[in-house]
Amino acid sequence: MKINQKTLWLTFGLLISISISTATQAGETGTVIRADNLKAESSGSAASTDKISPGDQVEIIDRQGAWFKVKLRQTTGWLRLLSVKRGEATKAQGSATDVLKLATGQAGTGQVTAVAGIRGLSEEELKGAKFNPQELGLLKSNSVSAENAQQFASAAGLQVRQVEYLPAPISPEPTKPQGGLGR
Amino acid sequence: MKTLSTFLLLLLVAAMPAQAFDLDMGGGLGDVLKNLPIGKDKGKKQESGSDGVLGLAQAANFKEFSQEEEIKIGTEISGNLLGAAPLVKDVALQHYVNQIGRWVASQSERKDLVWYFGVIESEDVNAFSAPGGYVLITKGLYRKLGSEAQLAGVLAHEIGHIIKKHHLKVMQQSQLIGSASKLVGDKAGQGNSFVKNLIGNGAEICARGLDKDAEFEADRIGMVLTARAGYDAFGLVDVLQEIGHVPSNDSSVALLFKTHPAPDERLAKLGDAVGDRLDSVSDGKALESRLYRLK
Repeated sequence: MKINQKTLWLTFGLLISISISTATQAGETGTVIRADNLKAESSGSAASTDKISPGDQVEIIDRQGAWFKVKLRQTTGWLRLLSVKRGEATKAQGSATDVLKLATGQAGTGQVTAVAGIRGLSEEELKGAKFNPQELGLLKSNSVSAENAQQFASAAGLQVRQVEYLPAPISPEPTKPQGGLGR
Repeated sequence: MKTLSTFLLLLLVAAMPAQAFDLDMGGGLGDVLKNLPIGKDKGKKQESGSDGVLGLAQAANFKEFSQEEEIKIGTEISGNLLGAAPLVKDVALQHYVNQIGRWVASQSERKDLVWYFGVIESEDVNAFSAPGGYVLITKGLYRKLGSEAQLAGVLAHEIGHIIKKHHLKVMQQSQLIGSASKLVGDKAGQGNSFVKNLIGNGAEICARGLDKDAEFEADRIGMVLTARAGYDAFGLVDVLQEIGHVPSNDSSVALLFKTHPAPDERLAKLGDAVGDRLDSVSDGKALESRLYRLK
C-alpha cells in the first residue's frame, strides 16, 4: 500500500512538473505549423519581412494578443499565434530536475493536496457511475444569474464586442495531425 | 408515445421508394420529406455510410427534442457524471467558475437557458458538457489554466457543444440505428427506459465523444464567444498548446485524446478558420491575476 502511494505521488509529481516546465514562455522554442509571413509589426497590414514554412524553429520572445514576437534566423518579427506551436516538435517532457524539485518541495506545496482525491475517469468508471442527487443539487445551487455574471465582468472592465461566428474552413484534403501526438 | 410513432413513421418513410419524396403532403411533414437526403439528391449525400445516417437524422429533423426534454437528458447525464467525480468542495471556486461561464454563455444565442458550471474532483485533464446548459471541468484541467481568458475559452468550447446541440444529434443518430429492434421489440416506450436508451449506462455517453467536426465547430465557437465576452480570444488556443505538451500516453489525457482530435490538429483547423478574422478584437483581456487559484 505504501509503495502504491509512492507511485501515485511520483506520477502526479511528474504531471505537475510538466505544467510548471511549460508555464514559462520567454525564450521558449516554437515550431512553425503553417506557411505564413514574418511581419515587422503585430498587425496583418504590417510589412512582411520573411516567409516561414512548417517545421521552422523560432524563438518565442513575447506574446501580444493574437501575435507571437519571435526570432527567426537572426531576424526578429511577429507571427500569428496559430501559425506557431509552442515547444519543439518532438521534445521529451519533464526532467529529472523537475521531479527532484518536487520531491524537495521546491515546486510549491499548494498543488499536491489533490493526491488523496484521485479519481480516474476511465470509460468503465463512467459507465458504472451512479446518479448522485446531492451533488447535482449542489451544482444547481451554485448557478448565478446573468446579471450577477455581468456585474462580475464589468468589475474587471470586460466589454462586449460584436464578433461574427467563424465559418468552417474549406479544406480539400483532410488535415493531418502534425508532430508526435498521434492517437 | 408521440416519439415512438414519429420514429415508426420515419422508418416507414425511409423504406419508401425515392420518387415518393416529391409529394407535397402539406405542412411540416412535406417539407421534412423534401429535405431528406434520399430522393432528389440521391447518391450525393450517401457516399459514406455514417454520414448518410447522420444526414438523415439531421435533415429529417423528426424528433427535435424540446428544451424541456433537452434539460432532462442533460440533468440525467450530469447527475451520473457527478456520481463518478463529485464537485470540488470550494464554494468560492464554484461561484467564480459560474460567474465566468454564465457571462460567456450570455454572449450566445441561448442565453435563455439556466447555465450550470462546476469543477469536479478528477486529476484527468478534461471538460464535459451535457444538453440543456451543464458544463463540468476537471480539477486537472483547471490546474493547467494560466488566466481567466483561458478558463473562458475552455467553458466557451463546451458551451458551443450545447448551443449547437451536438450531443442530441448523436442521440438522434443512435436512435435511428437502434430504432428497428428497440421500437418494434418494446412495443411501447416506458419513459425511463427511453432516456436510458438515449444516454446508456451512467455517464457512459461522456466517454463516447462527438464527431471531429463537432469538436472543430465547438473550438471556433469557443474563440468567438470568448472574444465577444471581452476576453483575449486566444485563451482556448493557449490551453490547446498546453495540452499538446502532455505526452499522449499520459493517463490523465487518455479519455480526452480518445474523444477529441489531437491538439495539433485542432490548432491547425483553428488556424485555417481564424486567419485575420479576429484581428479587430486583439485588445481582449487575459486577466491572469483574477484567475481563482485552487486551494
